[in-house]
Amino acid sequence: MKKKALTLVEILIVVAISGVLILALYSFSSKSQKITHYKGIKSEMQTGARIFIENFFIDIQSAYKVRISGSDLEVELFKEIPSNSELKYTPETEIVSYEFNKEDRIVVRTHRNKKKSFYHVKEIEFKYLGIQAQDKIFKVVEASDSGKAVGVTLRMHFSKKGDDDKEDAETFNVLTSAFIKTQNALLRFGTQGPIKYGYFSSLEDSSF
Amino acid sequence: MKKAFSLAEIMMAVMIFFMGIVGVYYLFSQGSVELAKSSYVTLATTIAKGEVDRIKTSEFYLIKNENFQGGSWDKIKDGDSIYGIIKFPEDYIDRFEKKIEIEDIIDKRLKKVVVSVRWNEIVKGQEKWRQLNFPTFVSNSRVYIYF
Repeated sequence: MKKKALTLVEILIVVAISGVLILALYSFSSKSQKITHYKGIKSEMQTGARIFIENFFIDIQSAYKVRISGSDLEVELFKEIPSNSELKYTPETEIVSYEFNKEDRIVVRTHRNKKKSFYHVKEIEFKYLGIQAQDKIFKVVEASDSGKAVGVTLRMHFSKKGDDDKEDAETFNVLTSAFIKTQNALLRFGTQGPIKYGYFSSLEDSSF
Repeated sequence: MKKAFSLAEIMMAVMIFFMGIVGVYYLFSQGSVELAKSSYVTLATTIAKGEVDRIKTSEFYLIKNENFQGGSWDKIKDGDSIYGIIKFPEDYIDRFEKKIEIEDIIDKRLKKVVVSVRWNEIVKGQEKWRQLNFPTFVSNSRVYIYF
């Protein structure tokens, strides 16, 4: 028996269905390409943020002094950890710097000539944290200068250069704070203070 | 003579192909969901670490539940700011809740501090809470502890 061939209508139906599916496939493919692209960038931002925050916490906690200038941060660290019995008045320190390049959206952390870059940083903001004693309770407030700082807040806004106006573009925001744990800041906080260092009177001083 | 494909066969093949594409799309979309979830974990960690750091820096005798609104969930709302200095970015707002629990382990010597951060996630179309606990111990640096 001779096999019946497809009619024109049947072929047209198949072509139409295939056309619809190809269109759907194209839309899916372009959408998934976009998703992969932006998610890849977001994953890069997240990884960068995680490493940055780890570095930031360790640097601030072990800081002797912190200095903020614009969007840059400079942390002075003890070269050696001083003990209670060997606290020098002029300790040997070294610098860790965080420099922000707004144009290229890069923050570079430099320590002992080693540089680590963090990408897609659109904005970065550091602020000094100070303390104020009120009713014998220490309240964390913004400090006016480096000399009164006991910690630093960090705000970062990640966004890839050139993606600012794109609707699907991914962004990532981080806000956190870290406190200095070395003696000079702890004295100001009073955590090592009242009995051992005779700092009890500072609790009454609201401008401390 | 070679038998040709019938319309039904072609249609079935097209459908199977289409189902395969839908499967691949589902996998892709799951990847994006997982990435969003991991970003919540990163943000929750920043909240918990910041809180733990603040508590650990405080005077030992002031580390009490009543001084840190301990025991209750506190949601980050629009307009909230960190120490009244910088407002929380929108990624945090109405998503995360934090809770601080302080417990005396050895009277006047050792405390246990747990900072928990929780947030809502959509899992298979249903909202579910996910929680990150950040426990730490704080010792009184003025009193030695003998174990």
